[in-house]
Amino acid sequence: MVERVLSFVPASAYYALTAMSERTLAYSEEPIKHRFLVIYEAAGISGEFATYLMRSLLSEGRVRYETVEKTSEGMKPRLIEREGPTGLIVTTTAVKLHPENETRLLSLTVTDTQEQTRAVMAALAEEAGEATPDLATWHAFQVWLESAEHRVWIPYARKLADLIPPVAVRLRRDFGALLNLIRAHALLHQANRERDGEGRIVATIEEDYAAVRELVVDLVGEGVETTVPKTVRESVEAVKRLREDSKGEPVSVAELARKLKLDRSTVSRRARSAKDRGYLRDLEDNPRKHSRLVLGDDLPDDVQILPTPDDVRASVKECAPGSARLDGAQEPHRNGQYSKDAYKACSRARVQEGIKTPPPPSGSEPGDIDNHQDDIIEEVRDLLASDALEEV
Amino acid sequence: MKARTALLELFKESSMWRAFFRSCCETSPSRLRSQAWQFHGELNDRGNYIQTDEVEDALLGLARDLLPDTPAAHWDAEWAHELCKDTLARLERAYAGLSAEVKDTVDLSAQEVWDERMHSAGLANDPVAFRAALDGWTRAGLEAMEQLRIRGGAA
Repeated sequence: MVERVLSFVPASAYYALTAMSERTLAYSEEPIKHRFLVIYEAAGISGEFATYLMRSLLSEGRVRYETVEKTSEGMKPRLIEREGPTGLIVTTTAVKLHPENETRLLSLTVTDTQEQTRAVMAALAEEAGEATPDLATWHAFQVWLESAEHRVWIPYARKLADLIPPVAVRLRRDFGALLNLIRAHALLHQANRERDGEGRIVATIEEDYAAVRELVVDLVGEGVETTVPKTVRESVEAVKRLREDSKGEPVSVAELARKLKLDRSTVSRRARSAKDRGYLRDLEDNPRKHSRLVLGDDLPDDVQILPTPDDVRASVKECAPGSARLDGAQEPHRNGQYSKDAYKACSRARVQEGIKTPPPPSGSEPGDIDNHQDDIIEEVRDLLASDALEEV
Repeated sequence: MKARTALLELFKESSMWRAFFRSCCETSPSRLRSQAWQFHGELNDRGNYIQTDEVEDALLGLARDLLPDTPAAHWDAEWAHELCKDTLARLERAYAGLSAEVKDTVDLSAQEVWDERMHSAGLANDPVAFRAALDGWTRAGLEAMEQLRIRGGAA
């Protein structure tokens, strides 16, 4: 799957490895600035030091590593600097990665259901009979993006921060990642976005936040444990039902696999994930013997940590009464109709009813300005005058 | 909070922003307009979500009230010309969408009252009123053509 995704970008956009030594990130001469490092198996990142360098690269956008080298003049210090920013894509069959690295990543779990396996096989069968797709357009787009506008303004970022409950320290990183994803989405769709006075791309709620939210709402919730992955919930509930049927007997992985109609290795992984989260316990301490699963902590009700686009929109509107919408989208009419459509409908009705366009209001000037600031104007005028005197 | 009030609060509070406002005003009206995004960004950071256009209008209005002797306080014919050019292009596109039969029947008399207001706003050196009058003028023109289009006069 990763290979297929990578085929949509030119090879210069990433650096793929199946494994790397502990100090590869420090010593390699392969440029990693503005590229993705792709490791095809997390186990290929060997050693604590490699994971430490990786963390530095992801968090600080570069690696500074000072070492001592043997030279003709004796031992000399050498500072190695590898410039980022660098992204990381890593695949693994493990249930978890290094915990310090995992908080810097968004973990996507492959769907392990029978339906998905059937869909994958069908896709592979179809693909076998198809010609290779032309990816030149996608590559050209990537090249174009290199010189396109990169600055994105998210007018509702502050409101978004206010709406997300600060329930976990991890959210400090996840919120940054969320904003980056919104920026990335707006950047990719920049031809269809408005620009602000500075020329920056303006990210919208309707298109950019809504699309990103749909992709990461579960991941963020699972990361801070306000939601439970569907696979874990299914497995825990299956254990509960099996125990009820067997009058409280512990459940083996084989029984659980039969109940879920999945293979044993998949179910074993699910059970491990549920045990790590504390929702299942294994009464069998000996890893060589069959698991004897029982229920652990109660499953919590899922709480979605990311507000819906409607919530964000409502919050922004509260903040900017009477002003145009910050997301650049149309303002919905009170009856659900959009203002542009309502305008057309009103125009049509006027024509049909023979009503002429009314003249402008005579009582108040168009663009009537706020005239209640006499005091503050005087104060600012005085301040400007004293500034001028100080300059003299 | 309105842009004008928000800007006054900003100037009252920050000598740096007052100095920047003054330097823009002393350069030219186009300098003040081109830097409106900076004021807009600062107001935004302070929680005042105001459109850039409103900030620009408010800055030009404040230039007249607070620093009337600076170039930014004077009428900017170039700016008015640019606004009118854009508006005329919009009307031209709408007109081009009408069928040949109805093009001669377009009644733009509803624009006259706005036309007068634009003229008055120019004489009064009031860019906010000018922009509002131009918006009204545009709307009246587009509506006049929309009526013909709805009656079946589209090209």
